[in-house]
Amino acid sequence: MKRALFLVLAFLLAVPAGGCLKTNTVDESGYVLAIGFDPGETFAYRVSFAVQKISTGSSEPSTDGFMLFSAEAENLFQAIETVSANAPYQLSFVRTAMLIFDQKLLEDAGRLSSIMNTAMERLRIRYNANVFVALDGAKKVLEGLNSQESPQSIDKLQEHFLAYARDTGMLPEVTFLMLYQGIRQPTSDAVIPLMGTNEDIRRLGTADSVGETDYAYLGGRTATQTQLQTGVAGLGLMEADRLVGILSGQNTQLLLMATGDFQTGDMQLPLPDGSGMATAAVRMQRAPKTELALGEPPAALVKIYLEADLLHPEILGNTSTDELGAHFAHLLEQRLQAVFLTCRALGSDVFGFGKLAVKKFSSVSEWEAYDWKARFQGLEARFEVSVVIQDYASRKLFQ
Amino acid sequence: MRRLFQFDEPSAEYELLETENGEPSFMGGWRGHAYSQEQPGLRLSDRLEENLDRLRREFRSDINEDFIVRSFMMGGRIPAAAIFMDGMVNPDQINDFILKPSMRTKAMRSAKPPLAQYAVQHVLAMQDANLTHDWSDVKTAVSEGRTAVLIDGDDHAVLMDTRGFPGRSVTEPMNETVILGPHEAFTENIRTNISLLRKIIKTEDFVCEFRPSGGKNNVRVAIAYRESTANPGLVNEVKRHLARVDTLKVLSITTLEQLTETHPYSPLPQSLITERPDRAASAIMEGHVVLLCEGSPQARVMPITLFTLMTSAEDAYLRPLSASIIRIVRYFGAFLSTILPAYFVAVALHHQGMLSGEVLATIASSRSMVFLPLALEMIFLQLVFQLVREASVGAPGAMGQSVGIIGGLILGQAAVSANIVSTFVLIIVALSGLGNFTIPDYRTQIAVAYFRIVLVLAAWVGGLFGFALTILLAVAWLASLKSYGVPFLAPVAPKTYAKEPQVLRVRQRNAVDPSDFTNSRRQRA
Amino acid sequence: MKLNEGRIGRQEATSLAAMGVVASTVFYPNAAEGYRYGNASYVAALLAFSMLFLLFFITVRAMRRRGAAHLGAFLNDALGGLFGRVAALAVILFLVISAAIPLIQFQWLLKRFVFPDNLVATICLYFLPPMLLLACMGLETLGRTARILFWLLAISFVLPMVIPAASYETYHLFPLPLENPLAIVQSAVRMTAQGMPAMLALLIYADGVQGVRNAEKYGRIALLGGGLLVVLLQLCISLSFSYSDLQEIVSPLYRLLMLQRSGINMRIDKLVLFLWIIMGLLAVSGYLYAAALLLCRTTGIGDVRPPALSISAAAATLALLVSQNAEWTATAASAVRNNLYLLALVPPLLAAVAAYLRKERLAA
Repeated sequence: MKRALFLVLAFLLAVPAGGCLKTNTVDESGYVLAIGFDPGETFAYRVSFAVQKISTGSSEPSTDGFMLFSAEAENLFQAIETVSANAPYQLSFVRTAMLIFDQKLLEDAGRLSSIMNTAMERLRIRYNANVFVALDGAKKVLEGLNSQESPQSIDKLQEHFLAYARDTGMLPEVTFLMLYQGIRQPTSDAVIPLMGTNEDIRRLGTADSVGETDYAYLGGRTATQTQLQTGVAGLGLMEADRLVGILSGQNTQLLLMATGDFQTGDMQLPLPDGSGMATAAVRMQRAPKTELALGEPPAALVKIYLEADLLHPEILGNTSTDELGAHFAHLLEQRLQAVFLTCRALGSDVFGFGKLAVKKFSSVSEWEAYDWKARFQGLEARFEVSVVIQDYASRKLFQ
Repeated sequence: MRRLFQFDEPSAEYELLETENGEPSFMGGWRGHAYSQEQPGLRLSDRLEENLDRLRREFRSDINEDFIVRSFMMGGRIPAAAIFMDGMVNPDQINDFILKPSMRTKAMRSAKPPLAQYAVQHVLAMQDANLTHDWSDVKTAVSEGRTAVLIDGDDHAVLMDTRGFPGRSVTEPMNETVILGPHEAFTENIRTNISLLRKIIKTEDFVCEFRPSGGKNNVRVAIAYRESTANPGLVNEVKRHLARVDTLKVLSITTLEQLTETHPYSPLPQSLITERPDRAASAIMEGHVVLLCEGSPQARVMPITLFTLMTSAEDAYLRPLSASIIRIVRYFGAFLSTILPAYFVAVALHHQGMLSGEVLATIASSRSMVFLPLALEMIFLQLVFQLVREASVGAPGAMGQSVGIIGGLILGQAAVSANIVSTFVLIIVALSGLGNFTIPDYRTQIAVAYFRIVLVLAAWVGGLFGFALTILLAVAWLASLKSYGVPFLAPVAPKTYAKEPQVLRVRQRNAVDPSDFTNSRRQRA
Repeated sequence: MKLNEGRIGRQEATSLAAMGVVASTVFYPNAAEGYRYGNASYVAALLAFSMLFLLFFITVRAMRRRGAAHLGAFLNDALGGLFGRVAALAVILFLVISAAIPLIQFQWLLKRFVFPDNLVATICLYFLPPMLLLACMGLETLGRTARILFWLLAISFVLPMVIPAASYETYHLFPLPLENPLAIVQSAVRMTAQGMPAMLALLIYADGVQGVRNAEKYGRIALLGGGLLVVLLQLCISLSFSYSDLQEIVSPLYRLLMLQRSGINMRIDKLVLFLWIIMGLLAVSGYLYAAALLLCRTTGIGDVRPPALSISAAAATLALLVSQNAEWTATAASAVRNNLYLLALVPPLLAAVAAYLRKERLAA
């Protein structure tokens, strides 16, 4: 028995011989919920950290929103060190749910890659943290998220934004890892959801890269009742790791339809006779089909299948649902074409045609020699949309 | 140092070798003793006075007032004496069935030597009367509460069962209470316990072999099994273990357990202790062996597995679906009880990213003024919980409940208000404590309660990594444990032919095969 | 513990062998050159397991032909006393290296994703006590532990396939890796060597599973089940990442778990990692026990526990040395990677050839 105990002790001594694993107690850490990156005035970056605020006064603990710390530095680590020196706890990034990049920052090539490489490797930021591009300053946008009247948890906000993206299609769901992979692969380009102050969002509707459009009536607003000063809408177009353009919420819906990421959303479309606007709840009937031919120039055909429910069926009047459906389809085709031409001009293959192109090759060297980026500039794409209008309200059951 | 690391020990080969006398001594039945007591074979004298003198001397009759020697004239002419211990015998039996018939004038009228045999056949009216000439048998019998009758001119004594010492009557079980099912429990009297078993098992192959234990103390131990069902190897193994016992202090079945176990330092028991005859009988019918000990109101069932320890007496009497749900809840409770504190410590100290923001805020704010490190706080609270439990068990009568209330409610609340502990940790400890009580076996509860602390330490040191490694080692150790040759995790690991699930309960069937991990003979259960 | 102690049944042996097969092939450092010509890992995996199946079949049949009770006796019988011992030592060395490789991978995973503020050496030392204890506990304990944890560990490998299902894209499989079929074959041969230790270990303790015939049966099941799982996993990895990404990802399997959007799934990646570590430790301990058993049989040592302790310590030392990241370790690791298949394939193949050349002998 003594011998067995001795041996067990000897084995267990191996563990502390190496030292204990470093711990950070929950109450000794400040949890960074969101990080904002802006170009700095003195240094390369101004990094803002939204640190969770915890109330300890009452017997019922609660989150009181977050505190915003920011610092200018040459890189992310210097910013962290600067902020940590003035904070009474260690910054922990294990709960970071949002990364917000200023639009101007992303317009320079290489900046995003260098930030993301650092963040992924060293800070252990969760790969499913959401990323956004801020229309006019990440710090301003973060301040707008911190409502004094009704402090929100960033986790809940993140869920709201995701739910908004799924329910309206005006926002793409893009995680940190998706963006990281998207900016590195040659087969397609990434998109980043847009975030801005309420004023920026209002202006977005008429000022996206496609140009002024009569249908971009609404940039999109967050579906909360907390009077936040910040909203989400639309997306940013990336070309490799550089931001080259932005799309409004309505154009985002169109893009997501073409890529198959659209689930449901409301659209307002003019009636054929011009007598008014019809609002329809649109959803994908089935996944879109895309065909690509690698000719000179390459040509693509995208078939999109939608079905829609009219929210005010009485507005139909004498127009049949088939006529309305055909009219809507034609409008959508035109809009899709406009979005595609914009993306092509900007060199951003967000439609993902490169994913089909790569399937045509049976060797890596052939594919790499093909230079899809260059060929994309000459791609001709056609869109065929089919819209089936469901008219449950006026259907006579016993006809 | 060389001895320290010497592993090449010759393996202990336990074989049932025949001795010169045939069967090994510990197989020999009632008279088989594996340890030395008196020199066997000392005969009684045929002179009554010589025998009585010796008995008075050896039993210290000048000090022991309860050692009674009742001399009388058998048949009015032959000197005889009845020897017994006052308080251990039923005096009415001695008066009515030994003394009265013996003292009749015509009792030994046509008696011829051997006189003792004649007396047994014609005079003494006891249902259990044996002849012996062995001195140690006489002493053992008198010590146990039987009566020995010595007759002048015969070197044999008549031993008769006149036991009537005070004992508890059959009552309800104190710990294994059920709503449905019988409400009888074992008592301290081994004969009563055997009769309780015989009430349930009426087959002719049900045997109870007696073995003496406890050296000179001669504590009676009964090995109960079904001779046509139980694995003979198992029965021999039990006997072999019993034969190793060589101490006077065999006070109860649990003492016997500690003296005969293969893994005495294991926190988990390798046999089941039950106070319910129905549970013991059910085990016997399935091919298990049950040990009963004089003076102990529990029976010991072997072999067992981990799943046996997680089964309660009520399970057999409930409907299958209800019993299955209760079992799932029980396993869940045990699981939660074991891992929840350590998991919380691991996640809160090393892997905060796994917690949601709200939970993090709750923990951080509740711990903001607590000075103890989180893991120490957890261990401290668990020890306090055990303290409250021990205090409520130890406090007499109604005070026990009050101690639980004071300790649990008031102390806990006060500790939180005084920032000694945090609310979150208190809730976790309470939940794990509740889960602990769902484990039916008391010894397993204790083992799990202290294993939790080891897990918390591992989680403190190594996070989920240390936690996972400790769990792995615990499972491996469970897999290496055996109960009388049966792996502790059978019939799951090793997988056996048993078709019935271990966690869920299937309906009672016309069972053909008894419990398969005991490798019983294939008889209808 | 005497050499003839320890008997396990079908499910225990199959579980242990399958865990070894999966752990050794999946927890292997991801090499960039394997993706130079495209995403071919799933093809290589399929080819590798076919080759492994064939090799195992050949070896077992040769053992049965010569009536060998276990691999040690087979090597001795087929190659003679001296060369048999040399071959046995080569197998032992192979098993030790194969045990160290998953440890190295785990310690890097832990360092990178879980404990970045700690030294790799510290993390490595935590592996030591359970490894030592498990290897000493013997075959029965290892087998039963593997059996009882089997389904939980199997689920831990199904989860990385299910969770990122929404992210699977067929275009990641393209361009097709047809440029250099020889590279696929080379990858397959390396992967065969990765899967060999589990099979060799099974044959070493073949008497513990009641004979070579049973060992063959259990090995087949383990190869089928484990192989299917590994091929599916490689396919899922290939569907999730492009070849250019995979050239840079250190642990694509762990990265798979992170490919989910949000919700409760995002909290289980570490739990799953620790389940993998449990499985890896069981597999590694199985190899170390088998290596110790073979050493005992080769050298005549009566108790398997002292060699098990020494060999476990050797494997841990190897893992610790590699973690120091010195230049020589990188050279050594590269040499091992390129030549490990020789240690894996040559001894059993040589012995099998020798056995087929000789007369058939019935089992004793």
